[in-house]
Amino acid sequence: MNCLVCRKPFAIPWSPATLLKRDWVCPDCAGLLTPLISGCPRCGHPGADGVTCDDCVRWLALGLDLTVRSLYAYDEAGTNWLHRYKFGGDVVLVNQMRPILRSLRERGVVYVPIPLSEERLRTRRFNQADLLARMIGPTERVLVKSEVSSQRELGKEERRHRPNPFAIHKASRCEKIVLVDDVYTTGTTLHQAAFTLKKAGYEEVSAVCLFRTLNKSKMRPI
Amino acid sequence: MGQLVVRPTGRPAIRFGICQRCLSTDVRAFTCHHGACSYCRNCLHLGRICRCDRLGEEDITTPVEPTELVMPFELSDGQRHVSEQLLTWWDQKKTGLVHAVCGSGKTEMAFPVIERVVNVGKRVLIVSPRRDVAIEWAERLECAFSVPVTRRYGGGEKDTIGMITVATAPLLLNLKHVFDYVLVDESDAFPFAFDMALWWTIRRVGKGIFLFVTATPTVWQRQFPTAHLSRRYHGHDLPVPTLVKQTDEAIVAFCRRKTPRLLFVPTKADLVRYGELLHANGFTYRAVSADTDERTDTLEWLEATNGIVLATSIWERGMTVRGVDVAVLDSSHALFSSRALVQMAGRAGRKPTAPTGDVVFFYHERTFRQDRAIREIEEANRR
Repeated sequence: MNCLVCRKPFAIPWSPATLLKRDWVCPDCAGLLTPLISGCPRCGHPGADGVTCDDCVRWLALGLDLTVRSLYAYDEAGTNWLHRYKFGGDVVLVNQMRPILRSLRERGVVYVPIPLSEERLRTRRFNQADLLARMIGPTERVLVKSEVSSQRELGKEERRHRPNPFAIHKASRCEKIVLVDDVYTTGTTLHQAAFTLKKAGYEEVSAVCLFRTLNKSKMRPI
Repeated sequence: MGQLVVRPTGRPAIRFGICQRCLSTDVRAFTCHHGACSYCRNCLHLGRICRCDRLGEEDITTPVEPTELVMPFELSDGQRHVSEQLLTWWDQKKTGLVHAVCGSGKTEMAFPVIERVVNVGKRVLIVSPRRDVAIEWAERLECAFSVPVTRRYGGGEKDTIGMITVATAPLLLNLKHVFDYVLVDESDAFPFAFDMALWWTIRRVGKGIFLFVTATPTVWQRQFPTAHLSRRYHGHDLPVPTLVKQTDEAIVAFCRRKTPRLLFVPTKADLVRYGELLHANGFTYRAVSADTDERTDTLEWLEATNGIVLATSIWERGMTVRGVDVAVLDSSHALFSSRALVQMAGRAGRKPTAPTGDVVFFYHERTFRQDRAIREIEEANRR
């Protein structure tokens, strides 16, 4: 069987899953991404365990309380992975994340992916957050996004002070909402989306995020 | 005819689960913005195409220009005979095979026919299995021809087409019926032999006239009219391999020689294993595998310092070291086909200044593959 990520052949020990599962990841590729296990309880940024990080303190001071579960560090390997997935369009790579995303599933919760604007969706052809959300559980399109410019080239401060692009598209019957996004850089997007949802009357909003950007690292911002 | 590009009108990019650009079946389903769709994973590096895209063809617009040929050296009698044969094949519009032993100057033999094709106003493509080989081709062609040579491999200009193009196969995927004469170098080598889709793309790139050039043709390639050349251009015999029972002492004794020594091993794990053996006996060596980036550096080091290099089959083709002695460790391994063994034996004695060299096959058990390789070399020497 060929590895999903590096596409080189490797051997899988036989199990019943061999018949059912199509996408296998070789042990070398599986160890590339760094999981975030302990760290800030609100955003998962690595650091002293149980201590809220500076970024989150700033969000709390603004009165926005949102707990984000981040899965992997957005380091070198994470960047490569996400670039292949999101900008290269190699959509099947999400299947690598299927087990860990599926383990986050809860009852009585609806998963809401951060939407893309119409134009962006047409050029990219898929919503990367939507695919992640579908791996976790039932999704609903609650939000819509109006057209804004790309955040990729913006700095940290510029990112924070942007008008809220999100609006409610269709109300959900479910009370609990979990937002799903691919990268948590400053958290502006997620907090804006959560703010919109709270204004619309949803009390319990939390978020799941695949990658968490590490502060004070020299990575290019996405 | 021309380049395949994504267009609003045209034919669907993926039909019947086959990517129409790269002809692979590695097509995966996903959800597009408008619903169920599928995309091709094999040619993602050319930009993703999915089922809702459409492919159109765009004509090649680079100007046609004539060329002048300056031969780097006079061809020997055998080489001239073969190159005349190539010219007749071109006039008759026939596909052919050149079965020439390793180190017989296959590159230069093709120059006259390339010149004629270009001067008629047709485009020539040279496909090679590896980038190193492609670079060597491009350098030699640039010395001999006055037209610029287009390099279409990783690291070169990837989206241009000239009169003479040197390319590796994966970068030809988005072309269709462009080249009138396609020269497939080392046509039995790794990607062509195992990846059928790659062969289909190469067939589609050309207009039907091919020339296979190899020292070890496959059975399929033997169906074409064949030109044999079984003398090296310096006129000496090919070194015939000797079979030696493999023991640690025998390997160490081989390594005691003063010439550059090239040891082939079957797998990457063996690089480590035999490396430890050499290290324990106080030899310094370098290892070469597909992961090694500084392969050309190692080649120069081997030639300059008469050192020892452990290599996997990545070096079995297209490299020349002056006065090298070749050993194949564990030559009964299933990965060493008789073709690979012939190629590895052909690394020895390629330079006119050092026309001989020793080739040793170390074996644990005798196989038909070894016998066939030795028989082929002896046959070539007799012819």
